[in-house]
Amino acid sequence: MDNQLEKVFKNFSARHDLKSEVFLQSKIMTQIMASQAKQVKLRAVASRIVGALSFIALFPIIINLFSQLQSSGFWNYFSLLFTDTGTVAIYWKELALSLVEALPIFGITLATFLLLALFVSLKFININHLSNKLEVNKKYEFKF
Amino acid sequence: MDNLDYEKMTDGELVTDYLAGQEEILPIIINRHLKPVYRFVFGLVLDESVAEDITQDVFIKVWKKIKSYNQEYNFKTWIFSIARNTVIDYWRKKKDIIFSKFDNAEGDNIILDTLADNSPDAYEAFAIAEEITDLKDILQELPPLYREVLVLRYISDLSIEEISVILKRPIETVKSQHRRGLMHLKELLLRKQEDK
Repeated sequence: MDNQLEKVFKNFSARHDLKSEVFLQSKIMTQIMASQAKQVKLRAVASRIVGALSFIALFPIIINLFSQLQSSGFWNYFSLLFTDTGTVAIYWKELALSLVEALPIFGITLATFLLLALFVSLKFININHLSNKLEVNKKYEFKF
Repeated sequence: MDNLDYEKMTDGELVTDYLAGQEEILPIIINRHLKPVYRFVFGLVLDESVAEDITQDVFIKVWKKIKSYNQEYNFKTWIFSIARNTVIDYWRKKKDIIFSKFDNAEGDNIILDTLADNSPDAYEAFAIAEEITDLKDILQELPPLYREVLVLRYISDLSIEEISVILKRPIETVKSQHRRGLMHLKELLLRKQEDK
């Protein structure tokens, strides 16, 4: 009975089979290419915005970071490393602790994050990346 | 690599190569599964143009989700699961399906469950089906819960195990729904004969 039923369903399926496989396939590929192009464009725009914002924000953050290093006495402790090596050798543990305490952690984290964002966005802005994506889209046209 | 070489590759190998950057493989993957997915979708929605639109959506989803595809699972059942979910989304939007028909997958019907479907009536009913010009009206009347099991079994040629993966239902439940589906189909076919 299974065979009989299979035959019935197969006949039904054949009667309503896809009229044009190539047409539907090309419709799908066109839509994929359009979505891909849109994604690339969106990514490029977002990268430019993030890149510009992080570049602008980096200057005041770095200036602020240097002034924080100045006010926390970091430079004073740091200069001891080169001027008073004898004392440094004896009290190296205390000096290391003071150096760490004087570090403006928040400012450093923020500056590192902005630098990272800038580098990542620069990677996406790369024109070659965009043209490579478009090349990939062209490839599809010859494979149907 | 030429298209013929790709034809010999398994789905898993094609997906691996595609994810490794060989983007020209995507049309091969689509081409391989286009007809089976269309047939399955058509078997559920029973409308050619809707089936084409849904099939298109299915492959866009496949393209978007392919990076998250777990290669431990069968690619075919993965695609069919996406197709089924897309059809359910379509039905939800259309709101023409009573979803309790899906929710009550375990609904007890002892009589239907215990009935064997190899009675002479069943043979007769399926013989009638061969004469019927279009099974579409009959399938339309069949609850979607059973329709999807029968379509996956007889149009998509999938095993009960594969169907249970796609429908995310236990094998025993699928077997029981398959049996009940056949019973419903038989009833509908006999009724059709009486109407004639």
